[in-house]
Amino acid sequence: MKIILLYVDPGSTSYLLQVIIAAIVGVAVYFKTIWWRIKSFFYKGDKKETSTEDNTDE
Amino acid sequence: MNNLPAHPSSFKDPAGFMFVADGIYYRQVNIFGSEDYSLLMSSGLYEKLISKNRLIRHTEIDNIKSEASQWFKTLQPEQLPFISYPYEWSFDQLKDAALLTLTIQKEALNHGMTLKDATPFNVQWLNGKAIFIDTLSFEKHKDGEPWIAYKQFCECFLASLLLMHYRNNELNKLLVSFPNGIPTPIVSSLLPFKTKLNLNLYLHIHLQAKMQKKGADDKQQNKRSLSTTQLVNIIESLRNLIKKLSPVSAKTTWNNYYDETILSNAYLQHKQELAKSFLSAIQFNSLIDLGANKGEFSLLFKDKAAKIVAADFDAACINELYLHIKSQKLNNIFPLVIDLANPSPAIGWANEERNSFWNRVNTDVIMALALIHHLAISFNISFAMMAELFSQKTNYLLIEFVPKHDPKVQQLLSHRKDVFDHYTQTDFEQSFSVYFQVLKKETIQTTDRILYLMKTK
Repeated sequence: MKIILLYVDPGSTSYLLQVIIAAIVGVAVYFKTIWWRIKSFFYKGDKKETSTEDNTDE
Repeated sequence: MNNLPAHPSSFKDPAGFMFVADGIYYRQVNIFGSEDYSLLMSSGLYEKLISKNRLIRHTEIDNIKSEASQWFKTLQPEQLPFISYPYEWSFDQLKDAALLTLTIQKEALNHGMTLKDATPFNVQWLNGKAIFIDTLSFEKHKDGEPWIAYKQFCECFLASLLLMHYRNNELNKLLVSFPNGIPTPIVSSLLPFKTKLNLNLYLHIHLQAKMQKKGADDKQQNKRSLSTTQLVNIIESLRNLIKKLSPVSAKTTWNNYYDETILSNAYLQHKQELAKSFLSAIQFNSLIDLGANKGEFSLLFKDKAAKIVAADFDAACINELYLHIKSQKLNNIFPLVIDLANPSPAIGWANEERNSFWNRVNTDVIMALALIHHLAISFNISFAMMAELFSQKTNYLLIEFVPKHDPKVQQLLSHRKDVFDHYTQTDFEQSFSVYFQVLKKETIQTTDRILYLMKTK
C-alpha cells in the first residue's frame, strides 16, 4: 500500500533533506523575527512586513 | 454511459483519472481516492481555493461513469479552452504557476491536507490566470511526514526557473526531455558557482544534488518529525527564492520588431486597419496568431474572438505579452513560446501523454503576419508546405506576403546564398490557391507587402 501511496518518487534523500532545511530555515526565521522586533522598537511608525501570502496569482 | 477509456495522460494516480465523453472532459474519483476527495470537500479547502480561483471548479454528476468497479464519483470540471505545457510557457508564466503551487500547498497544510504531486502539468490557464487542475492531487497530511512532492517541485519548477534566470530564458524547454523534472545533479552542474553562496538556493538545489549523488538513504536515519510550521517554513523559503527570480534580460532579435524604424508607423497602422476590416466581414470564435511577436495583432481582436492563441518563438516577446495580459486582466489570450519550425512534439508514454502542438490546434482563423519569409528563407519551408498545413487547421487565413526585395527579406538573405527562385508572389498565390480561395487582397502602405484573407476550399 505504501508503494502505491508514494506513486511520486519522493527521492530517497528527500526526508533527511527536508529535516536539514527545516532546521536551517527555522534558525533564519528565528533571527529574522528578533531583527524585526528590534527594528520595530526603534522605528515604531514603520509597518512590519510580515505578510508572506503571495498575491501574484490573485 | 460506462467503461470509457482513461485519457492517455491520466494513468499514474490510483485515486482516479480523466476521461472524455462527447468532447467533454470528466474526472473519475476511484474508491481508492474517496477518503482524500471527501476530506478536500469537507475540510473547507476546496471552497477556499475555489473562492480565490486557484483550483478548477467542478460539479459532481451521476449519469456518466468510466470504470464502474472502481467508481466513487464522477466530476465534471470547468472545461479549459486550450491545453498548454510548461515547456511552452514564458518565464513569468512558469513563475506564476510555481507560486500558485506553493500557495496551494500552504493552504492545504492549513486544512490538514498536502499535495502529493507538484508538477507544472497540473497547472493550466483559465481567464488569463494560472489555475490548478488536478482535484485529486490532495491527500490527508499525516503529522510529522515531509512534503512528498518536494523533490518534484524543485526539479520541475525551481530547476527550470533558476536556469532561465541565470543562463537562458528558454531553458524550460529542457522539460520536453525531462518532463518529470530536471535532476538536481544536472541543474547543479549547469548553474554558476555564485549560486552556491545563496543559502536558499544552496539548500534546495546544490545540497539536494550532493545528497542524491552520495545516495544518502533515509532508512539509515532516525526519523525526526517535521511539524507543519517547519513545512510552511520550507515553502516560504522556496517562495522567497522564486519571487526574486527574473528572466535573463537580453535584447532579442524580435522584441523590437515593430519599434524599429525599418517598418514605419504608417505601415503598421495600415496593416492594423486592413486586418480589422478584413476580419470584420467574417464570424469567428477562435484565432491563432502565428509569429505573434508581442501580440500587437492578437490584441486587436480581444473583443471579437472568444479564444486567441498567440504563439511566437521569442520567449522575451511572449513574456511581455503575458505580463500585459496579466496587468490588463485579459481573459481570452493564451501566450505560448512555440518555434514553428520545430513545434512541441508529442511526448510521454506511447507518445500520447502530452499532445503535439499542431494536434491541439483547430481554429477558425490563422493569422500569419510577417511570418512566411522567416519560414521560407531561414528554414527552407516551401509555400506549398505552409499552405497544406494551414489548410488542415483553419477555415480562414489572414496572411501577409513579404516580397523578396523587402528590406527584411534582404536582411535574411544577406548571409546566405539565394536559392529561393520560387519565392515570388506568383508562386505564393499558386501554392495557396490549391487549398484556399482568396477573399480579399490589398497592398500595405509604404511597402510592397500584401495582405490576403483566404478561405479554405
